[in-house]
Amino acid sequence: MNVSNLRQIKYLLLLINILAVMFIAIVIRNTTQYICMLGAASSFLFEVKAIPMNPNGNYFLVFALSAVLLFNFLLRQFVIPSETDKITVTLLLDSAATILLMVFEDFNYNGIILWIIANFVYYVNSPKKFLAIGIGIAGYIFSNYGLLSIYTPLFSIEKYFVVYQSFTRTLLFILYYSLSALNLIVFIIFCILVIQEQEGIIEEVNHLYSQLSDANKELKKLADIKEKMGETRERNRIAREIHDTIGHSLMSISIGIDAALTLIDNNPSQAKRQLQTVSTVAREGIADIRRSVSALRPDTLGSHRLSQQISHLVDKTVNATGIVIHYTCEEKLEFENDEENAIFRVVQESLTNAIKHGHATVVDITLEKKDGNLLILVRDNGCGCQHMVPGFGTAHMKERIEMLDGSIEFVSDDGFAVKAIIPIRVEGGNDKSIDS
Amino acid sequence: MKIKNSFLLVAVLVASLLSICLYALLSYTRQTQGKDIVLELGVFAGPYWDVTDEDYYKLVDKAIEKFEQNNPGVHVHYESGVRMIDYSEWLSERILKGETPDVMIIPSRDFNMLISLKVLRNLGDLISSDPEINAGSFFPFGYSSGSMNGRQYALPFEVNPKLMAVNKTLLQREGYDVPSLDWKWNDFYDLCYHLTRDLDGDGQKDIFGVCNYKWTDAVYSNGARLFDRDGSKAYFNDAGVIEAVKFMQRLNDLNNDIKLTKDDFDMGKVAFMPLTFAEYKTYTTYPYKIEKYMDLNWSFITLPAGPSGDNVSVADSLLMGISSNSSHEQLAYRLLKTFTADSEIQLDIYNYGHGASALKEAASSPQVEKIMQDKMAENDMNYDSNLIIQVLDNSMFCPVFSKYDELMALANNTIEHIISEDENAESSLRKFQRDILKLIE
Repeated sequence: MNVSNLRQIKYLLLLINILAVMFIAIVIRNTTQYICMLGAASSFLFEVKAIPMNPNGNYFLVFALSAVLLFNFLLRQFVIPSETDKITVTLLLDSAATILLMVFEDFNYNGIILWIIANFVYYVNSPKKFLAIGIGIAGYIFSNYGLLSIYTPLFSIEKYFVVYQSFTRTLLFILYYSLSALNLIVFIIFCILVIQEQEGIIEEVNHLYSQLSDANKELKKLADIKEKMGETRERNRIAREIHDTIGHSLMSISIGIDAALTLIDNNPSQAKRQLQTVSTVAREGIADIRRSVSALRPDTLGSHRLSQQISHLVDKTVNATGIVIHYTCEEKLEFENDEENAIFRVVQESLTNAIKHGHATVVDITLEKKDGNLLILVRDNGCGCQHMVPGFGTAHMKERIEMLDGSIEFVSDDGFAVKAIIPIRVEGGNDKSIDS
Repeated sequence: MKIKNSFLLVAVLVASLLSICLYALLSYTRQTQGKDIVLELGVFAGPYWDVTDEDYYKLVDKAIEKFEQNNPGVHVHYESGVRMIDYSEWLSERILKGETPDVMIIPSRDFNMLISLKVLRNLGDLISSDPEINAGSFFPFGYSSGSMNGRQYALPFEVNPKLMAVNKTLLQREGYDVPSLDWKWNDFYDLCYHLTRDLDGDGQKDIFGVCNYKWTDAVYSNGARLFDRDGSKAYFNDAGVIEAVKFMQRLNDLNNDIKLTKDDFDMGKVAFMPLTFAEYKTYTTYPYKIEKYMDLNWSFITLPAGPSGDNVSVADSLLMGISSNSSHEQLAYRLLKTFTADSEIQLDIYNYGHGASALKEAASSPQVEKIMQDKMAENDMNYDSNLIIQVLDNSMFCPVFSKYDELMALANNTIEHIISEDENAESSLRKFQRDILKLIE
């Protein structure tokens, strides 16, 4: 807003100055004709101390020099606003034009120097600016008509005014003096605006700095929160892994040992086999834990493919617990690591829950693709539960599935069912046919 | 949109600036590549010095013709038909418009003004580097009439000295000789005293000693002056002026307040009458002579010398100068010289002009006498070249400046009143000096 004000003031200042120099040229030219028309040339010459040597030529030159000023101004404003060297050249041209204008008009108007000073103030940012402004101010003082006319005869524009009748004369005087005064006033306003603009820039810098430090603080806080969140997530993951792997193994072991305890008296050899199985489960559990710990870094399942993993899990569980598991999967299960991991853990957890809480004897596991989604369904014939109390397991399942933008529901009618739907990522190699 | 507009604006400006430059260039080449250089000349047609004129442009044209022959490729242009009374205004308009003629006749009242406005070029360096002319080429008063504060701004084109016409017929009838050229106020007064008388006894004076003898004539011939060159000082209470006014009071008493005119002289009733060289030419040459009384016999002498002065009279001088703004300085100077310092052209002043030449070589040429005799009526063939040269040598130049006319009108009224009312010359002139100084300031 301030900048556009300043631009308008510059336009105004140039306009006033061009009007003032043209006013003098036009008055001289027209009054000369008027005096000749009146036949008062001789008496006029006796009245004046000097006359313009070439009023018609001066008239033309004043217009040409005004055009130079206007042209240079437009160059600075629109064509070369950021090229310092070129701007300096135009300012020097302007200065030369200004000196010529004042000489042609015998210093009857020297306000045009203020235009030059204003431009130096506005455009130049080197220390030379102050030299130029100093020269400008000195020029303004010493080019004063009253001062110069003491030393050398200069023609006086006022002598041309008094040729006319009182009304015209008054009008010309008013025009002449108001242009000079207006020029000075607008120049002062221009200077005030420039100072204000520079103050404005300082304020803006201060404002931006405070905004920046605020943002920094905010960022610090966010980083802290993020760190805490990361910690929490990591903790949750560890908890999940421990629960999923150790929990499952320990449960299989405890059930296996219970079975061995039951068999040990009646059928020691069976018990021995049972214990061997338990031992295998325990070893696998250890391996599982190791795998989990290593998996805690990258969230992967290891090198096994998902379908193999699930098959292995099913076999292992059947061997350890003796329940019946129907595993149905018609699809090629090729997913990204995080997806495979989540699917596997959901299946594993559902199986664990079915045995541990539902005391199920038959579990159906079905994986199928449907409408771009993968459907995981784990049903058992266990006792289900009337009021499901969400525990670690279900919460982890929910987290994992939601991370993949999927949904999960737990249904308990006859037995218990876990139903998870995961959207399949398109770039996943779902449709890759692998002939094996 | 905005950028597009500004580019359009800049384009228009560039185009306009270029066209301005082109125009300037074209007009410049038109000026310089013109086949001929044209010099502007400012002259007027007569009448000048209150005499009628018909042949003035012949003189101007002859000078121009000679100049153009000597300077091929240069033409001189002047606006004809500018009357002498309009000339000052015409020249002022040209100056004001910045179209000052390269060479111009300078109206004597405008001389100071033209110098102060720097319209006239100082001729000092041109004359000092010119072997053909110098100050000594001209009669002193003529040369000094073109100078101001020791600087030469103009040269005299023609001059108009004052002589004393003598009615020889009347003097012979009354038994007196024509006075010698070094006659004094006393001789003059004595003659007037004796010549002013009643012939037929009717109580009215029938013949007179002098008419049209002005108090200024007395002042100048008494070695006094009224103003300095630029009109910034006045000397009305100087002893010489007071003495002259007292002398005028004595002379005036002889005529008993009868106002005499030129007609009285023409009718043979007056013995002496000052008149200018231009008037003398018209008096003695056709066609004016035919209208006058043919049986009168004229002669011419100097004006009488006052006790502190000499037989000098005031001479008018028609000056020519060069514009300080002339783009053909040397040519303008040559044209000025053709008019003012070329004896062939200066001789033509006696043929076609009004006055006399201020160029010594021309004025003292034997041809002058021949030219004048050819123009004169038979019984007036008494043109005395030596007398005219003596008068020219002793003439003084009366400075004329912007306020000269009004100041002199005032002085005339006041001093003629002092003379006719026989007021105390000292006290009245002291008072008048105070008044005139206030006006000058």
